[in-house]
Amino acid sequence: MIMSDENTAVDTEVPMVPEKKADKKVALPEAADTDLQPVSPKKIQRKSAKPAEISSDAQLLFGKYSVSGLAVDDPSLASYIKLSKRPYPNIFGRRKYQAYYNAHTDIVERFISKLMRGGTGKKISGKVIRRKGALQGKKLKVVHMLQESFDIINKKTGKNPVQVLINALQNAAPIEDTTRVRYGGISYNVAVGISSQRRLDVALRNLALAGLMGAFKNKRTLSDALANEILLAASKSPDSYAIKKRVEAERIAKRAR
Amino acid sequence: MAEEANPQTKNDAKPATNAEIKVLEGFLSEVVEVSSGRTGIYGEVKQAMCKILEGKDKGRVIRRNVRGKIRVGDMMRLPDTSKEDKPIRAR
Repeated sequence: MIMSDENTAVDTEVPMVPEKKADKKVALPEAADTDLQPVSPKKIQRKSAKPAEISSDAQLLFGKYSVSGLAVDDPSLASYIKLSKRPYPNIFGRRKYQAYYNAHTDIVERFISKLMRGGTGKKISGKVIRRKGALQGKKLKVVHMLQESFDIINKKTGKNPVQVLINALQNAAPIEDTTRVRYGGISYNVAVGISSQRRLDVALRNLALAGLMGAFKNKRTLSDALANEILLAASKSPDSYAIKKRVEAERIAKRAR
Repeated sequence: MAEEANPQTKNDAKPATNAEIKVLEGFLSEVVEVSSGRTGIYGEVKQAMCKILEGKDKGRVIRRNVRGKIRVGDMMRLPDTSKEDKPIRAR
């Protein structure tokens, strides 16, 4: 009977587990106790210990930062900023062929996959992606790097780094863009609006690119450069690359209205 | 090792008192309808009917050219609410 009590206590701590499964788990050992001899104590310890470990750290990002209770000021971006309660946000591309895959994936995972790209020089400024690169196809390497840069942000500001990333994304997402139109051999720019998913795409790409460019041919590490860029963008500073890009795009669009 | 620990350059992050930059705020709107066709010379632009939720034109529904993936029920930010867009002619 003691074992059943322990199990119930553990299950209440984990809100992710549905109730039906929890009932089954509790019901089984009771029947065993009454009919047969009790189970050996070693097995009981193992079963009770495992879920307790998971419940403590499983819902925190990298085992440190809480994901719940974060605020998104812009309601248009709020429906596209998703956060999952996992230590390492990765679903291994399982829903890749579903419609609106990007809208359902974790924002940190999307940022990681934007960082997994070939190196770019300062002159290229992201237009050409080389086929070979230090980070292409190396997700774990990027995850560890991002973890370091989140630690740096937390040390400098004392805030939750996920909240700082969300603020940076909101500031770096452009509202207006241009398309090219040709009339009689002369090309014009015409202003168009941007959907909220594409706004996030652009913001994520520019933040990741600025981190890579900051560490290119420089003593500064990649995690340090990325943390610096996120902090600059979160404070709406004009030194940030992503915010420069946003202002430039909007200035061209405003002229072409 | 001491040199590696301090790679501080002039581009380093400053405190929050740094001068803030002016960016467009825009007006919130909700997408009511998305047209089935596409416009723009590369076919990248869709047309959407947006219901404005903020500002002096609150409640109006206007047609807008939109770039990127969009569906009914999305929230969108419009830079201004005065103009109504025509489809971009494709050649």
